[in-house]
Amino acid sequence: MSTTAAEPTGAEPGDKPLVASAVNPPHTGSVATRRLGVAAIVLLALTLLFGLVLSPPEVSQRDAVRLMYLHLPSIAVTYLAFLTTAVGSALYLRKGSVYWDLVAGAAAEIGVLFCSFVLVTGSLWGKPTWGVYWQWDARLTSTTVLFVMYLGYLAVRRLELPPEVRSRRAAVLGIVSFGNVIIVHYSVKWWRGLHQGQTFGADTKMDGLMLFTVFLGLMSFLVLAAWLLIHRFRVSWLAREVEQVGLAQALAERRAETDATGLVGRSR
Amino acid sequence: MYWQYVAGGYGFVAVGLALYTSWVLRQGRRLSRKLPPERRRFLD
Amino acid sequence: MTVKDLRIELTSRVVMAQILPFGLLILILFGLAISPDLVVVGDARRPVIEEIAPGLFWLTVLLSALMALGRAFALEADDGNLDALRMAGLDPAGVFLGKALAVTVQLVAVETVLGFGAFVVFGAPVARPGLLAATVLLATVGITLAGTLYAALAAGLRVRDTLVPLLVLPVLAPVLLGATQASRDALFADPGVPGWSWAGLLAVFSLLYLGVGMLAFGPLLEES
Repeated sequence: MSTTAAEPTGAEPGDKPLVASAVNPPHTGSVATRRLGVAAIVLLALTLLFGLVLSPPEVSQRDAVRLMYLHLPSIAVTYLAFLTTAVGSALYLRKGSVYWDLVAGAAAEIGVLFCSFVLVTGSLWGKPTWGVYWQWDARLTSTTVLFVMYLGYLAVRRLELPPEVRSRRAAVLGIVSFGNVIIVHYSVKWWRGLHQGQTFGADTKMDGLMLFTVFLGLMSFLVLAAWLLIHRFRVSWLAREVEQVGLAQALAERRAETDATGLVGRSR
Repeated sequence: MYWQYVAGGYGFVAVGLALYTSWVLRQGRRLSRKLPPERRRFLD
Repeated sequence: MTVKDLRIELTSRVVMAQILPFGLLILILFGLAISPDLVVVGDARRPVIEEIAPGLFWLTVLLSALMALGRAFALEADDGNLDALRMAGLDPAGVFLGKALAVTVQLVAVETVLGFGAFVVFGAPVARPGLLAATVLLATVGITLAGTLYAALAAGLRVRDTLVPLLVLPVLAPVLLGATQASRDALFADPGVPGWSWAGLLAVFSLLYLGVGMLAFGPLLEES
């Protein structure tokens, strides 16, 4: 299996012989992201090596425990991403800087991606461990609600509204959603807690090598998520620039048009 | 034991990351080609 | 604000003439989907439909609430009234409360009839009427406060009808949970379910959304 998905270099240097594009190349890479990307690839490769080959199977879960090396780091990235969305939204509302709005949006998208990893690896782990793909387990249930909630957030970001209005609504939603995460989490936990004492999967026994692999997975996913966040942010930023350039052009064209017709009208 | 689930999980994550990453990178190139070079800088 | 919305309702009767029958229809459909002959095995030996009546009732209320909320904002957005309200210098928190209160009154009316319908159709007993009344009130307030806030997010958009449910339903999951659990206790005096604690959860939820809504409604209404 290949993880070169995280290929960090955009265009090879020399791809375009233009001098200007060597300074501002036509992609979202930079020296910093290239270094981050290399680090992510190395860490991901190490995670694969330790997760699939070097670490031992668990006593009761056997090899299914290997899913945890993706599952747990994905949870961490998901929550951090949604926290970033909330913080970015708050800063946007406070300072009105578009950058924070774009950061919030980029983080939410990455959060949703990793949340889908959490759900899929979680239920694939559940099948051999619990015997079923889906349990009305507190964490599983609340994570699913969380997933849908942020799909809604992304839908709001895609609304056809004036940019400032859309950003402001998204920011309010970004903050309130994180509060909801907490409410949903505790209410569902309480609901399940009343019916059965313990949540499942708490009895996993991890030895040193396994814990190290979890740590490795966490590091690699965090670096990867940071790399993705930067690139995604730059893409949003570019999209905004393109929109503005397009708007200015359309405006100029219309002005030229009205001028032309005006001249024609006068000449008659 | 249970390797089929492990393969499924790792496969899903790999495919998901590959698709998303390539989408982001390709969007970045597509959009930046539309801009004049002096507007392509990010960190200033 | 509240009075105006209610007066519009009195003259147009959309809630009473459409949303209420819709709710009753859903209740009947639940009855068709779940056979009344199925029996819960255990010491209770209740019909399944009676056992899950609280859940079905609250699901029906949620669906009806979505329609009422859509209606509340369609009233304003169609005439660009939200802009007018903002221009008139009305306090956004006041607008929020007014809207929420109007929807609450309508929803309570719908629930009263639906509850009576559920009582007749599903034949559930009521062991603790006080708890039931508190649950209905607190859950309704929670639904309308959160619902009003989220409906405002999508106000005046073509996609409103599809977007609002996507936004509101996950948020209302705790309310559905709390209301169903508390009503179970109210109906069956279920010893395993602390009904008043769940009602407390509903109260906390409502208070949180009261605060959030009053704070957030200003930024939401601007330039929309």
